[in-house]
Amino acid sequence: MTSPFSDEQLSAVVDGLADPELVQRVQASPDASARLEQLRAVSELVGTSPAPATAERRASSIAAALAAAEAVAPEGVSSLAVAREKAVERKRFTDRFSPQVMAAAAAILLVALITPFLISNSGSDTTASDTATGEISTSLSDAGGADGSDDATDSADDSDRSFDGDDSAADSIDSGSDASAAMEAAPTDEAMEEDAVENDSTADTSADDEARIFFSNSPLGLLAAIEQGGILPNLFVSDPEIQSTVNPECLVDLTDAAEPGLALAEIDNDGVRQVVVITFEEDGTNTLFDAGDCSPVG
Amino acid sequence: MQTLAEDDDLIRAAQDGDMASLEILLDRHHDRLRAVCARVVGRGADADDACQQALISIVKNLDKFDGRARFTTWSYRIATNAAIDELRRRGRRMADSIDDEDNYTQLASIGNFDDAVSAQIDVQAALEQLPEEFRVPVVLRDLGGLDYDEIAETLNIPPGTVRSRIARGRSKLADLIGSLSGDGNQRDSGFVQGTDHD
Repeated sequence: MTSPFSDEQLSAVVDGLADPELVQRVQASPDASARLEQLRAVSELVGTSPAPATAERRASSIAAALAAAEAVAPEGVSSLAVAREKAVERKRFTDRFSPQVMAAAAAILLVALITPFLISNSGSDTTASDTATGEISTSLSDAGGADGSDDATDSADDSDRSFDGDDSAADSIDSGSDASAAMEAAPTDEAMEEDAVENDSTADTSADDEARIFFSNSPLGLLAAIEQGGILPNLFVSDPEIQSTVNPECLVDLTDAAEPGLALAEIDNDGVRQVVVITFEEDGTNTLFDAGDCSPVG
Repeated sequence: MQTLAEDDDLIRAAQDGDMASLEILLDRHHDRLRAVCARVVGRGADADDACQQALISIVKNLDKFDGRARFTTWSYRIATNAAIDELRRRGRRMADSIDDEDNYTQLASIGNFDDAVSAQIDVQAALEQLPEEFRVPVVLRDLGGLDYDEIAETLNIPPGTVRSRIARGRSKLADLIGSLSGDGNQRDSGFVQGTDHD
């Protein structure tokens, strides 16, 4: 069998990229049609999905990628972790300085500042009173009023596709925070601090919810991942599946020894799956221990 | 009825630090990326490693994704590079020349070409006979469904070269399968005259 057409021409027919005249000529030739069918069959075979990854391996790959996203970015490089931190910061700021809170703070400050004037001047010097009110209005406006804060936040939200945009938005927020520092002396400070504590608590819970196992192909691979910032202390210890595999006594002993903390991971140690405790020590070194018997690994 | 979030929405949310959206995005695209890695790399464990590296590269570079290319195309490019890196790292490079017949090995013995196809002959074994410069475009076209321009962008080669390499890759695969069937259907399928059309 010899087709009068080249395989490149026939391959174009397979991909639907040949002109109709060529297609007709190919169809009119038994040899060309036979070869075309072979190429089409090859294309379909290659297009058949190969055997998928095991569910366990699939989950560990995704978990490893998520762990990398949590990593602190190298200097000057944006990362999802940085972006996420900014998002939390933004939420904290907007929650803390919501229009309602700002309005209440402004009203209280206004009363606190105007009252002495009214008492000392007994209402006789209207010019002084008017001037004072004007200064307060300006002060509130400069202090990053609710509208200004929202603008900064909206600007950040609008720049979703660019971390550079986020950076500038974050700068705006920081500026807003500094400007709003003038409000710290207001009587609502305590309430605001309580709000901030609540927000911090929410952020911590959120981080715990995202805790997951990190999988590496070897002890060395795991240490390399730590080196790259892919694993951070205390990031994975709340995963119940991992906790169930850990010897509590081992964890207590290592907790006493490790500062700033521990992390847990699963590794493939010469073909054997092993849950390990990673210690993070003050001098920046890391050591791996078997989570069951506390023996050093690697 | 709840509708699935679009990729664009998930990407934007993930870029803003939403880990849940990132996880959905990775979960949604894992299988197709892993399939490409498997076709390019071969062995399952290597494909898993390549896929994991691809996912990590995706999250580390997601801030640079600007939406000008489709996420599918962009992520295939990353997966392809991860797969090629894996091949090189493992020192399992394929034959340097597609014309080196010594590199083609016996795969199996099946009655005829049609039987080979219907029996789902191990196309992976045949693919591994192809140098990666031919294998990757064929995989991106036939498995990934990318058009020639997208493959050209992914591999940073001209579209004419893509067309040529796909044709030659399929041609050699057909011959390999044909040789297994012993039906005498193989032909000089353009490799002799074949040159990249840049």
